[in-house]
Amino acid sequence: MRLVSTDHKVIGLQYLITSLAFLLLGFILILLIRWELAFPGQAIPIVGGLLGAANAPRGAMSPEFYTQLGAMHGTIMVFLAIVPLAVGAFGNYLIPLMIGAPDMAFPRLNALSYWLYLAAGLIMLASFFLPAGAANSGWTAYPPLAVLAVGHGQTAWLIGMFLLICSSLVGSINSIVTIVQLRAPGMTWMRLPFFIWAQLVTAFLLLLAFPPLQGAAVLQLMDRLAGTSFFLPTGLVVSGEALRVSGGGSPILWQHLFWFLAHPEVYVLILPAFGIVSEIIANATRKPLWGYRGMVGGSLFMGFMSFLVWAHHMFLTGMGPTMSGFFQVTTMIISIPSVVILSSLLLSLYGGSIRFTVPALFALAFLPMFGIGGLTGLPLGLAITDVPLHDTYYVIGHFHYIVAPGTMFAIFAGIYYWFPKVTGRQMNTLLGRIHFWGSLVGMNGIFLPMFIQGLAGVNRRLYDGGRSYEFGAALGPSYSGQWWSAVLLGVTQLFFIVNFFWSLRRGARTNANPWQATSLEWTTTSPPPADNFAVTPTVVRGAYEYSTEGAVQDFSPQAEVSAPARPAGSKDPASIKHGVPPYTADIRPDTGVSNGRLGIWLFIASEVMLFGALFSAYALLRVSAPAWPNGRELLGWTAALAPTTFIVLASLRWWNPLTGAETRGGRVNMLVSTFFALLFLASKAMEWRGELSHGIRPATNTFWAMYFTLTGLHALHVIGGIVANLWTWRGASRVGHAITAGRVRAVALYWTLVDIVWLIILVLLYLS
Amino acid sequence: MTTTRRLTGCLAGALIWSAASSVALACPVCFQMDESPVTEGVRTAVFVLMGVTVCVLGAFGSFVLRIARGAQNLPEPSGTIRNPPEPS
Repeated sequence: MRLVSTDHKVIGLQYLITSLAFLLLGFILILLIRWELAFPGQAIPIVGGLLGAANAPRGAMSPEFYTQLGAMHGTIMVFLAIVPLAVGAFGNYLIPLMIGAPDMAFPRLNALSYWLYLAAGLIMLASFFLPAGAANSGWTAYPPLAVLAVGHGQTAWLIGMFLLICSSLVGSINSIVTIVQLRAPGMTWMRLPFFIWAQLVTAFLLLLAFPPLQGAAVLQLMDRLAGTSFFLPTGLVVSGEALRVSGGGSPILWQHLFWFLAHPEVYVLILPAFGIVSEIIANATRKPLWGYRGMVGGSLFMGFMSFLVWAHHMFLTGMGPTMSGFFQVTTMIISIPSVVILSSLLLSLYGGSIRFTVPALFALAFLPMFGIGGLTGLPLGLAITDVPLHDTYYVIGHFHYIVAPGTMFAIFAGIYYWFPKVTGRQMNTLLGRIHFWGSLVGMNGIFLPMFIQGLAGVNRRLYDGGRSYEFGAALGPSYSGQWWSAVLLGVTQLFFIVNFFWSLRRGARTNANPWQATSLEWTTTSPPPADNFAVTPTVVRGAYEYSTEGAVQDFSPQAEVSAPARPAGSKDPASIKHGVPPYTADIRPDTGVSNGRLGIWLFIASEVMLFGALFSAYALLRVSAPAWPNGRELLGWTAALAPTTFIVLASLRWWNPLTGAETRGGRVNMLVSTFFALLFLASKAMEWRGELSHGIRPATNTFWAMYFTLTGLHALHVIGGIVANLWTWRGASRVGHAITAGRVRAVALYWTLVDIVWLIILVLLYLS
Repeated sequence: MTTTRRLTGCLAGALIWSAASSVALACPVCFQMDESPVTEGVRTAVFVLMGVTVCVLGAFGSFVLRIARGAQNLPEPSGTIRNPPEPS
């Protein structure tokens, strides 16, 4: 396998291996945490001496190191392990295979997505070795704590998160375009496997929910590096001393932007799990999924509603009963589609002749585990019950039931299920069963006591598990039980690791379709060849035609083609040169767009969310400020006249070369646009120089903080536009008319976005 | 219980809930704090972000409708077998 490849299967495997490594690391961190909670202040066996005197004096964990472990465990598990596994690994490997495509729509962007993810993960890991260690303000990075955290760990966390979001955005655009554009002939929407629907909705969530956190990360970086006060209120006192910052910010602003991502993130974790489990349950029961259309509708509705529930994480911020009432209602509503999907899966079991294979065991266990996680979440969605439960171990128990025995079980089910497709070999069943039963007992042993601890009132962040409080003093045995459950869970995972690597070489060889499944990936060889299918498959039926009346066998594949032979002499799929994915420049008849055009629209949508979040931050700071400076007096519209003219001219030149872009006139227009864009940057640089020479800094007050941040981010977008201009100009004489025209349209749309954003900035900062 | 009774019960419940909501939903943290500028700021920020989100989702919705219409106009490939009805 080549290290740098654009083959979706190679990238999927890279995601799989990397994210499994992160999963193991995240688990090791939690073993350390559980030891501390079970035996507070006692030296950690074996590894205690290796953690360094600062982190573990005499082998016993320091409170500071404990908070680092807590923050990084959450970050690693959510952002570097489970989402990349569910979306990056399974999505990348399976989406093209299940829809009958040769690859993802943008193979190079796909590779970029993986390398950005790896870079983000390595930066976050490297932060453990910085002088004051890694981030220690929780995985939620709440300010003021996160802004005031000593050392550079939190800064590294923010930079890593920024890269991770870039990776997610690129990956999600790729997934959506691939599913919409590259479906094989006959693969209508209602013939898509539910797994694909789940990945599609997940990609939309990632595309639209992540940019606000990107904006928030920029603001927090500004607070930490440029001394601004986006998240620091006036009059903040730390350790008895008034903080010397301009103030005027709001810690609630971070919660507002963070939870706009982090709640949909829960659905990002759940939906791919539903997708995996659906495929396995239909296969194991030898029955079609019950209520397939309802499940599809439920997942779409869930995706939509997940953007309207985020403030239920903020009931304790004093948002008022009107707002909390609205978010309580939306939170209760969003539980309906989850119940629809879960009920459909349960009903799918009814009357089936279930094959209790290892993947089926994990998939079946997912249902009650997710059910516990979901039902225990309802009290947290109501303000009256959230007040006593907020920030207790109850929340941790609820969330972990969703993600650990929930999503993780689905992921393990998926690994066992598709392992034969990837390797051509079967994993060992006995080792798989030990892995399953050990994980089931271990996980419940860890997470079930958390509900009791939470109801007893133990806060989730206490270094000693609340023993220093009267209400937590009696809970010691429960922590010991959790420690031994964690040990059991850890030992059990060794069976999985051994099974995984042993089966790669020694597992029993299988045919192309060992599970007798119906979806398209099982109609090609195991492992699949470079372009996936020797002949583009034609889909003739739905994805779940099991036990159909009159059929020769109890499953009817979606496409009736025999598995193609692997190209002679090829051992490594990545070694085969790929063709260009279909509809790269041409328009697909039923969607009316090309891949590039859909891609740029999706990118613009994510940019709208980014700037929408920043404008929302502006609204919060301005409305809650006792007094807000008058931008018209401070900056004046005359200052904005020249840059506004330049940026509009830079954009207008792009709508000219739509026809004949590769001609001399068209190419001149591209250069003229670049010239005006450079003039815009020069005028902004002069304006900044003027402000700085008058002693005005981003740290002066929140108005100027907003001014420098918004105009700076916009200027970065203008620089991005210039790069796009020159790239299109350079390529105009080399590639064909269709590709150049597509690029010109994309760049023209981008410049329109840059214009609109500038006009809004103009109104907010210069004219009001 | 007849359908009419059930319906009346639901309606009465909804009415009581809506009439008592501001008190019933209040908690010690946020009760009667609607007037604070911070609350107003958060509310404005939520409206702005929600507005942007709904516009973007609306745009996607219209695109989905467009491709759904496009899909209907596409001829089925030869050999297509119609899906059997879902089991009830």
